[in-house]
Amino acid sequence: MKEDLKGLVEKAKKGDTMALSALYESNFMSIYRYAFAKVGNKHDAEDITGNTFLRMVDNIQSFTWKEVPFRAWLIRIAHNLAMDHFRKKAQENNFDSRSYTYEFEDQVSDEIILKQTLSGLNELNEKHRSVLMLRFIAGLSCKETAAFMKMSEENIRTTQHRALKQLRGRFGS
Amino acid sequence: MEADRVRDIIDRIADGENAEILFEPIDGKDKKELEYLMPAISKLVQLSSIHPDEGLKEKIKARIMEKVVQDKAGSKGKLLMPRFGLRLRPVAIMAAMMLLGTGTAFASTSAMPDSVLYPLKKAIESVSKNVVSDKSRTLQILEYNQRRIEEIQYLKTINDEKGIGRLVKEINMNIKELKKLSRGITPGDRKHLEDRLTRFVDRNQKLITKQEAKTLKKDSRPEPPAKEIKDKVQDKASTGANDTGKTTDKPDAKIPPQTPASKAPAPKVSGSRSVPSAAKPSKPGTPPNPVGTNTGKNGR
Repeated sequence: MKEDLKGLVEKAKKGDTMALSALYESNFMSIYRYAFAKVGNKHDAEDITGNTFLRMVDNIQSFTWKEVPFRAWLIRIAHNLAMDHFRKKAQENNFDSRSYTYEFEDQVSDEIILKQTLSGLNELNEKHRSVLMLRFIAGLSCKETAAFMKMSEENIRTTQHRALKQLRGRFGS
Repeated sequence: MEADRVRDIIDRIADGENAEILFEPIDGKDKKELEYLMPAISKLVQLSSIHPDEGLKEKIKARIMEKVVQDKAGSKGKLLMPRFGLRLRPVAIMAAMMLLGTGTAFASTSAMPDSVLYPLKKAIESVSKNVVSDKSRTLQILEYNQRRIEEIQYLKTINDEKGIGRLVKEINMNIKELKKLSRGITPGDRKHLEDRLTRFVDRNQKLITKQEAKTLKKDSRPEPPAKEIKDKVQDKASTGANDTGKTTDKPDAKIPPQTPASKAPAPKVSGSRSVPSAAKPSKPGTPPNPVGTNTGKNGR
């Protein structure tokens, strides 16, 4: 599987459209969910998802296997775009990314639960929030999350456990 | 050791394994802890129900592929670009932008076969066709057929018989592909496809009528009766519709008779090119030319 992914990335670097298409297909949902959980509304999540993959096309030449796995690299792009989005919003009207509310607009069936979950996540500290979002929403493996967060896998497991305890505490008994 | 077990289970749930199965061998303190954490875990797992709007995936994909094709075309063009000094570079970029504009992709869709942008147009068509669902693909192929008709009209004005032959071959291949694709689409989509196909055949009818009249006039042969041409056109149109197989159950019934009363709105050729021969009004004695100016996607 890893070999397949490596092959795809190498082909995509040479401009193979089928390889780029396959990479897009296999990572689209991860990026969209991550973006949605980050920015809290589908319009901005759509923009961030689109721009993430356009940046992928622009920068795939600079991607190396030494640093992070491919999906973690894509999540990094989406994360940076989300941060740019928050900065832009903050400049516009004193926007605080920690206090915004989520807009679902019929996005999901049980929106109250999801709103509660995302708001609970938003109250956690940056490290705990990121680990849970990467593992449960973006679907990154423990290894990929470790590479993204620049932590050991063991550390990710511990952080994940602690973050869950904190999140559970926010939901009450 | 116990904490390790809980962490391991959480890890496996995050990886998408079924929580209920994982509960089996656990008891004591670990079980209590997992029971406590489970509401938070299950809420996080529910976040996987976040789904984008339908069509977003394809929309973004089409944008990416268009960019890839444009980048490829751009990188080939780089070799031919003259080198400008730093001071002149902004001027050169401005000049290039004025010449090409930001609408290269738009311009390329109206590029005619003798245009430098035509290969780009074909490349974008080829890539776009391969990255969308069957439903979108059928509509795209119909759109491309319409473009080929516009190109044939243009090639007629410059008497490029070879080019016309190539395009006709391409239209036939597209119709074969439509026939294959139509097997896999839903009845609702098929109805939509039928309507589009009927409009396409209708436009072809007009084009054939006009071109046949021109040919007859050029050859200075005696004028055939209007009914004869009408029958010929209807035969051709029926064949074209039948070629698409299951897309039309009764193609003949869908094709309106070729009379002045059945005039469709005159479509325009996209882009700045005009087709002078098609723009001429029909003379008395020639069969009716319902096209008016020319055919094109804008007139749909």
